[in-house]
Amino acid sequence: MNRVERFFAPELPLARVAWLRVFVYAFVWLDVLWIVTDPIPHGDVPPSLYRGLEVRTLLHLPAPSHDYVRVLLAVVLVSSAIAVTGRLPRLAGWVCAVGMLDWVSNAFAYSKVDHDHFALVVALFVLPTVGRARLSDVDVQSQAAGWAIRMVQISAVSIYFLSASAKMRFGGWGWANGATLIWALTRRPNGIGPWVGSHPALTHALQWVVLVAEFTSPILLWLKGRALYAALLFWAGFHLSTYVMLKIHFLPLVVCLLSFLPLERLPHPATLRRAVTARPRGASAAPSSVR
Amino acid sequence: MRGTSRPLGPYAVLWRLAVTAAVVTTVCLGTWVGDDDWWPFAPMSQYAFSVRNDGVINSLTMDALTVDGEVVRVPLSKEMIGIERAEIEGQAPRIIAHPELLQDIAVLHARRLPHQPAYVVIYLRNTSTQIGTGATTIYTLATWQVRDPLQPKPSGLPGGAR
Repeated sequence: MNRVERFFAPELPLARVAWLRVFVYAFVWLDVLWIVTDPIPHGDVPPSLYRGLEVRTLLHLPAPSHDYVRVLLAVVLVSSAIAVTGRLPRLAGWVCAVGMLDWVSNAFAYSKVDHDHFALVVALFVLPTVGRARLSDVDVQSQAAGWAIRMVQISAVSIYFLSASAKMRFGGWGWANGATLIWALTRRPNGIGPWVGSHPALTHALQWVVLVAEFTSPILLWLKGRALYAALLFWAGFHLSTYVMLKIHFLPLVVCLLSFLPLERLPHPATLRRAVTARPRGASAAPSSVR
Repeated sequence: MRGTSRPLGPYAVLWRLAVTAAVVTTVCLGTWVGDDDWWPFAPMSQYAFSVRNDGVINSLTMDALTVDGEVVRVPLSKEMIGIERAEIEGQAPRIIAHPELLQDIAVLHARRLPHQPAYVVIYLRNTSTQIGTGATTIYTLATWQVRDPLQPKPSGLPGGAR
């Protein structure tokens, strides 16, 4: 394997994909039933207010209607319920991926586009490519698994890095010294938000922290061990604080950050059995994003 | 070392690297030169705009005169009327150019909240708040006299392409 291949498609434990599937497909239920719930009411919106998206035109997806969105919801719920068990990983996985593409693009087809779903959409499309993966496949080092995990990691990092790029494109270099956070806190006050919003110097400092963190986020792809965990903890704290102050959580991205963790070490009958027999752990012992 | 290794064949590696290159390139271009229509590769632009420290904060609202003669706030949310304030803000230029689109808000209201008094006149309004002083000014951007308020029919205006 050359260096490029080792970076983008390393050999990683198949069990990590199995665990990531559990989290991602379970999250799909949370997403369609609690977070992105717009598609059901959108089924009642007259088509004049439907604006569409290029991806919907390419895939010939129709303007949502009352019955269509309910059938789609059922398809997404059933396919993800099957996929979460690890059965039919390709069939259930692809159906869920296309269904979610339809569902989320419906939500964004009325002139309000959010950017929190990019990594999740990528995850839904790459996870089926790995094929069968069991939680007990802790000692199976798979390059297909490594590529899928890496794609999810790269997509998550892209969201952060490109958020900073977009701030420079749309907001200009003065963004961090501006009043964007005050604007957000004024429109969506929550918790300690109004107090923070009444301290302009504090909001500027927070904006600088966010901008620098977003620009430097690609280092997540190289960090290992404690440094990696510390960086992930920082981002978890960031998402928690935007939730506390603005009720904005970015959970679809947070679930994709799990791909950086050695999920294969989570307790499972197969791994517990091994702990009991106390045999030395394999090469997966070093905590790292790519091991 | 225990365990098994499952490497990929050369073609399996090649198409995967090609997909990675395509996805990374497209998502970067999406933010650098693209627009919202590129979703899922659209610009990561939430909160990317600048607000001047002495600027104003605009916030759209919709009000309606009901058959009962009361002026009420139109509940712009997915839970209530079925469309969000941000979505109306994104379409505000269209609504100002074609106030007839507010007929479809009356239709949506009749479909989703039939127990509430029907809308007779709908107003699209903007509230400007001055950062610092907190002074607010309210403008009416569009007004629409609903046709057949008790059983409103859709405007029939075309949606689709942006």
